[in-house]
Amino acid sequence: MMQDALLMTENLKTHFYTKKGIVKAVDGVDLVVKKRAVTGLVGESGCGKSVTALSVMGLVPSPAGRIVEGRILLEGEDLTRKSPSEMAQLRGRDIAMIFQEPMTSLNPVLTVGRQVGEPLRLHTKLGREEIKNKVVEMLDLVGIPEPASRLGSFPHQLSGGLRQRVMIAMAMICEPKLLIADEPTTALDVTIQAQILELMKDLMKRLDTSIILITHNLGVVAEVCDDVYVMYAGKVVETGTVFDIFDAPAHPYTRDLLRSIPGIGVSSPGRKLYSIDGTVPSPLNPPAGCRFAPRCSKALPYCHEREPEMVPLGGSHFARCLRASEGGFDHD
Amino acid sequence: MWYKKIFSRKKASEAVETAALVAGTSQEAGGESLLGDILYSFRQNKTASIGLCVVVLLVFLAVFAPLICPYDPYEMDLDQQFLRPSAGHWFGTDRFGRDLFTRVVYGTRISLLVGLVPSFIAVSLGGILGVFSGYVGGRTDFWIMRLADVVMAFPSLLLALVVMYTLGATLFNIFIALSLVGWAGAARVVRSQVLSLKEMEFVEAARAIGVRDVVIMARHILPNCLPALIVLFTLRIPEAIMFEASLSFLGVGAQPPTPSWGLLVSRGKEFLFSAPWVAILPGVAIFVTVLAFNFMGDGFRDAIDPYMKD
Amino acid sequence: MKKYIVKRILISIPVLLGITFVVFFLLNVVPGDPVAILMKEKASAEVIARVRAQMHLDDPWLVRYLRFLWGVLHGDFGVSYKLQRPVTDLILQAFPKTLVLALSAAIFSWIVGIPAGILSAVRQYSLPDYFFMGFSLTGVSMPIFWSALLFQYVFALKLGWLPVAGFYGWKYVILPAVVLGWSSAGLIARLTRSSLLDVMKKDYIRTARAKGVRELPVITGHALKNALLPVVTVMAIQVASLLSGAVITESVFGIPGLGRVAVDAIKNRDMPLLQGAVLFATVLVILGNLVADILYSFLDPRIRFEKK
Repeated sequence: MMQDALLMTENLKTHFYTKKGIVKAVDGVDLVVKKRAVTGLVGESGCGKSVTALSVMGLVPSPAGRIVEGRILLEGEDLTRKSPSEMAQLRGRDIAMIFQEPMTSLNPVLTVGRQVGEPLRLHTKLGREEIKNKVVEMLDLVGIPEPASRLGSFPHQLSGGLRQRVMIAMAMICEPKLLIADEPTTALDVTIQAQILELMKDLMKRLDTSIILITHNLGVVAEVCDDVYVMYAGKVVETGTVFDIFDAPAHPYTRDLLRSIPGIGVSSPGRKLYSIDGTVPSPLNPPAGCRFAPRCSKALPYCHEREPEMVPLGGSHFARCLRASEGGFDHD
Repeated sequence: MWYKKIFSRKKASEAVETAALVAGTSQEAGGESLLGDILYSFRQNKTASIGLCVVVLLVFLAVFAPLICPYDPYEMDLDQQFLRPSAGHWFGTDRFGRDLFTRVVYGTRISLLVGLVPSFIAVSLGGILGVFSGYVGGRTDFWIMRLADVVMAFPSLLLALVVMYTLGATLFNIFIALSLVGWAGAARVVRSQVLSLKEMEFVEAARAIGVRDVVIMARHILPNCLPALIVLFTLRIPEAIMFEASLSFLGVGAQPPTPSWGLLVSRGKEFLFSAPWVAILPGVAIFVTVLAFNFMGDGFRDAIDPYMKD
Repeated sequence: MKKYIVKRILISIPVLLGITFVVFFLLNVVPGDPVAILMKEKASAEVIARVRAQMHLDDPWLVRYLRFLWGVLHGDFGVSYKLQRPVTDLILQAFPKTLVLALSAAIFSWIVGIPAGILSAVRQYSLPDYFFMGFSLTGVSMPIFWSALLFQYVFALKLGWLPVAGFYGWKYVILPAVVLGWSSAGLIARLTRSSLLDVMKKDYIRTARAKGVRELPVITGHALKNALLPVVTVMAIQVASLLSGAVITESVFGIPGLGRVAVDAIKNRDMPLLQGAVLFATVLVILGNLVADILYSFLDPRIRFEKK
């Protein structure tokens, strides 16, 4: 276990047992989340990034879903071995999660004060007055104007941006070691997005929290993340520091992703918008061999037969591609 | 063309389906056609199939009553009063010595007629008014809806009582009463559907071509309301059967010697202690019939539900 | 919220007027000559004409309606043909019994229906779930008069635990209240179940779990309040169906309430009495809906507190 690692997953596999078959949403994921860093988890919809986060939290919807293999180590302790009530104790106190839709993620019939104060009620022994003060303090910290007057407000009375701030306040109030943010800015205005990201970075420093940031938006990754994991069809296909990924992407999928961002890389006016051919494979029936091979422009016949291992590319940079170390793929 | 909607294919993409599966929603989205969906729903849903079978059996009994029943439903035989259920009389006899089984089977005709005909009229009437009201809008819409509000404000049985008082207590008048009581709910539901349909592009397109309003209402809007109307119809049938039974029980419906089930129960009421079967068995018939229609209706509704979300 | 309440009250007024008109129209304008029907022996044309003048039956119907409306607004519903007493008195005498019956039935349906629905939702697809849902479906399918007779037969006649009929003490209320409330209980159970199942799938429940809330507090503290809101609206519809059902229940159990009054009025061709009873009951239903609406707007913070 590395010294500066807060969370590690080893070969995490989370499967869903449905009428139509087994959905292998997360199929062998190794993650390392360092302390005081922002780790990005990137990929298209359905690649398994949210399910990975839910697995860490112990919130995989059962009975259909289950962690079937692997370990999740939080500062050395294996979370997969914990009982539901032990996990409930951890949640909110040591690990917290915020979700994509601030509109629907807050309970419409409970006041803001009650919802933000709840983690304190559950995990600490503070009295009502102290909790109230802490809540006001936290609301102020996340940038909500006139926090004391908001205690009795209901979620529908707040704007989207404010609601997301409330979510963050609620998640951070017990000063957790790890915050998982699942697409926190996707549902918000662009201007507010930047503010929220700034807020999260700020809180990270102040409260000594590590962040896992899940997103499909590479722009956000470039802004905020220190380390990046790129996921595809339930597996990690590339990982490294943010510089590794953006300056020297090794996996064809990563390269295609970067290419499809309008404006990044060499751009010439009149250039057509690039999009990756084909669609994400069905999680019920993943292709044999490399999962990206059917869509990969660099695929060799070999690629369709054998599933590649992670190829080390120096430092913390790895890519799951048989041709990764070739480098020098043409940029257009 | 509107009929294509009923028989056309509906397919969701695999990714969407898988996402739905993972999220835990059990609804099997999109079958092949409405008919196919209905059959599939019945195959899946055992209770609905049982309901369907029972309903078919009831129709059979109603149609072939004279062939099935050994006795005449009106023939009295005062030597055979209040016989317990036995081999000769499966349901026993009533106070006039009439075979109860025969009377109950003949009562099936009444219940089925009462279930189907007024419900159909009410839903059709309500449907037409709803389409008209919703499409035309303005003051016509306002007043029709106020009328519907007023009709719906009454507890339905009380309104039916008033109508029966006015028209007189016969079985035929119950048909009228049920239709009058039932149209308002259908009209409301259909109207709200029409309001959203009205704004859709295919209506604008039709109008742009110069299709007359009446034709638009009949050809384009009404067929799209069909799923909702079918659902309303299946809901109304068991309600109507209960209604007639209740009215006849109270004495303001079918009159003796008509073998209406509700009437049979009320005539047997006085002898509940000494000859309970006279009152209870016709009630069993009502219960089984209503239950069967409810189950069957559930099966229909499960199949039609995805179509309503369009 | 105040705006909402005022709006609701204003909308109710035309409906109230409408029902008075419909009742009047159906009972006074449509049928034939009530006097001729009333007079058992053949009366001379002279007598009939005199009675008609006395009852103002020759005035145009609009005038008669306005006179009727005026009376209603002053609490005067006319005089019963059969009993020769003011209808208002008869109604006020009968109504409290119906009220007790309906209230008991409603309370019964809540006490039984809501916990059953919660249990079914929490233990979905288990034995209790199938049992309760089956129970509620049969409850809705059983005609009230039949279940009334059944209960009467088993509990009163055969077992003798409870009285058969009449209305002389609290024991007399139990059987009718259970019978009347039975189908409502089934409805409420089904609604509570589906509402709770819906709520448990919502995002904010996921958030609650993410905060570390245990399963039981998730249900009681976070889910229930949301899930029960739609059930409150059902309680509004209950008033109408309870009154309808009371008509039958009172008939079977011999309770001299409003329903019995209405049925007797029909049998005796006692038009003013029927008119008064139906009108009174309907007004109650409308008021009940209004109250339930206001209650709902009070309970749902989204309506109670407007957006800032």
